[in-house]
Amino acid sequence: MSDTPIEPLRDLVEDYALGVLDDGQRAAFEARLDADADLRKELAATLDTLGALALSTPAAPTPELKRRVMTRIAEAAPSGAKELPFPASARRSRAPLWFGAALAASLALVAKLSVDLRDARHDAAAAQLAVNDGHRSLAQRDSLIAQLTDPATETVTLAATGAAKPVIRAYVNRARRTMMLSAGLLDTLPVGRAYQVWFIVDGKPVPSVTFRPDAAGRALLRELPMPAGAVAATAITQEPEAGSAAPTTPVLFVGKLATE
Amino acid sequence: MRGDQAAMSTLYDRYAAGVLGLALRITRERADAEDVVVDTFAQVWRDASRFQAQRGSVASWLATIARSRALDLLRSRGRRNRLDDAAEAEVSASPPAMGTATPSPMSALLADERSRRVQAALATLPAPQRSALELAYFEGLSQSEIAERLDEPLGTVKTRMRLGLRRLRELLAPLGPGGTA
Repeated sequence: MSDTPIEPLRDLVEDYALGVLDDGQRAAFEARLDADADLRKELAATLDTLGALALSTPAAPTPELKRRVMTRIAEAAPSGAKELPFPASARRSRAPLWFGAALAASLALVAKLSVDLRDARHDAAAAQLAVNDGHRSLAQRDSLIAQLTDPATETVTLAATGAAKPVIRAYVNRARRTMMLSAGLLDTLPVGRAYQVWFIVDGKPVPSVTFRPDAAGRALLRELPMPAGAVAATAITQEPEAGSAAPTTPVLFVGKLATE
Repeated sequence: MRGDQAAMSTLYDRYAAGVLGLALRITRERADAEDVVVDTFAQVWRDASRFQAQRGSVASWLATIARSRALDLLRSRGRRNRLDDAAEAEVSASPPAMGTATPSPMSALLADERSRRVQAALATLPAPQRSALELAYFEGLSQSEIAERLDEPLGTVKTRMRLGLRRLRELLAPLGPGGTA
């Protein structure tokens, strides 16, 4: 046992979550944890706080990193898919069941992730997010509304160059050098392909982000940084998911910005 | 039972940037941090059945695994050094993941909002509380080591860590489990 003086169990929640208890204290805390639902609840809330803190300084991973992760997983279980209770075709066409069935490793994890994904899918259009989605925080909705209604924001409709019907609008704020882009009715894309946003500066396309729409063909890109120089237009092409340095396919949508 | 690779891909898209940021903050080496990310998601894949929702969110589970992996890496290489201000500033200034790293634009939007709110909450803590928390969590120091580092009594350090974390919890409660609004 530990020589450390006994402290109230509640006071050890933070210490346990931070991993600073000695072996004796940790063992005693864990023994109590199994029998104390309130203590488990306290610990879960504290761990969630630490999780939020831990993940709050994101850094952009390279596409290569994802390839490494997926390769490692594939090597670990090359035939894992056959263990899923639903055939692949059913999983692709029925998103909630797909997700619930596909993860399969843990029912609890499935439930948590399903909620996460559902939340993300709810937020696919600016107007809907700003007006309809009561689950979002006021601050988030206010932030979007502020962008949409900022007098300095220029609204640009991107016209389809072909027969496609999607509606794409860009909200350009030259003062902040940012652009928000909302899209609906976009075609879904094959695996490995994505839409890529371009800014046209001095007649040349400057690459911006790639994105894939949600299952309903909707997407919202907020605060895309605009490149230096006079941006004359913005455009969208279809590219590899990792993005291209220069367009490799015809322009699907284009919108001309007001002259700077 | 094994998980599904498509679901794993979704999980990666949602959390990889946060996990990489955490690993960078601890290891301060890009190559090491990327190794941590790979190991973390591999462990999640392997141990998914051990996940217990009542013990915290997916985000906190991932963070716990990544932190442990990163600290283990540092310890194995014997370089658990003081936080380097310049390195930390560089990591903190890393742009939020966008585009190829986050296929869902809304995921990027929400993650960005969460990050801003967490950092804002952290900034409201008194500096001594913040320092004690950061030394414990990101450097993996024991309370005694922190007391020695800060030249403060052990009891003071304990109190600061607990108060700081409780205050953060209060401030971040509106974000929900795992800091998800």
